[in-house]
Amino acid sequence: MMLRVGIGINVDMTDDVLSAIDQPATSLRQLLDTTPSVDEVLSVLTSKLKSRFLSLEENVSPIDDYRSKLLYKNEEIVIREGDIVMDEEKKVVRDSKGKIVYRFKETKGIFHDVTNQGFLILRPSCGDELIIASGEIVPRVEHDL
Amino acid sequence: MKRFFLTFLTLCLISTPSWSSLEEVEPLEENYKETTVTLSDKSLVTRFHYNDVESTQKTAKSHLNPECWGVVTADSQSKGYGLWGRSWKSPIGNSFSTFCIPLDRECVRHISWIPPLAGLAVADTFAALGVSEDEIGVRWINNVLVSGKKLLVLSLKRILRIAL
Repeated sequence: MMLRVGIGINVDMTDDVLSAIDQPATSLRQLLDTTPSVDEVLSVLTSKLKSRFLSLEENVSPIDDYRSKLLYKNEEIVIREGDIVMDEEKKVVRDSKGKIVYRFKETKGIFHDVTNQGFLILRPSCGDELIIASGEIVPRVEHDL
Repeated sequence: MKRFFLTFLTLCLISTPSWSSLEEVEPLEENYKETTVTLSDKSLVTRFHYNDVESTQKTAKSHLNPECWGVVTADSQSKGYGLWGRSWKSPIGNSFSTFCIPLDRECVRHISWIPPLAGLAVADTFAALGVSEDEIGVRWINNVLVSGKKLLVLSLKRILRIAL
């Protein structure tokens, strides 16, 4: 099996271009005293990516590092376009007709934690804890604006 | 146990909608140069650099090698995209790359960790370049933000079979 990982990084974006983007955005030029070259960014990125994959090959779990960097933990969030919902016993959730729920448009709850597989544990205001494998999260306050 | 593992693996594969399993390979374009990227451990990765492409993701289909890593880069993209196919502004002066990565058996066993891992690698990169670690956060699954602002776009595609 092979993987293609596409990564675009804002390195030298002007304020004009950034302000035209439909969400808060920045670039390394705005963040650092000296803007690195694209080649420098590529070299560091390739090294870091290889190092992370090597750790995985060596069976080192990234969970602690991942947890420490996660945003919105213990906050109310909305998950859009999510996939695979499991209940706390890791059984797939079935709808009222007994069909397995693979996809959902939107669901809300407290972002409790991630599982050992990196899946998101969501605590809805009512019902069982859900384990969600993919989707896009938005903080509830941003979503309700 | 075997049955559990197979079920788990199936769920992981189904659960990555932004990954496609089989895709047509684009013909190799001629206007590019082939160089290498030197890593911090002095090892080398082949780099296929283009002046302009629709997207490095698309062009990378022509550079898959199951034996080793490679990276396709471009000065600019005309149709760069990210999560859910959203367009991504790709003017000159920024970094556009797609890494072609052969996965060994151990990586496949931990396949659910691959999307978060890509985000962590980008977070590592920002820190190494001098961005304050306190400002770097990951919005699950792999959307890395700096002080709450977007700085990158990430897209992953899985290839089960390579047509060379």
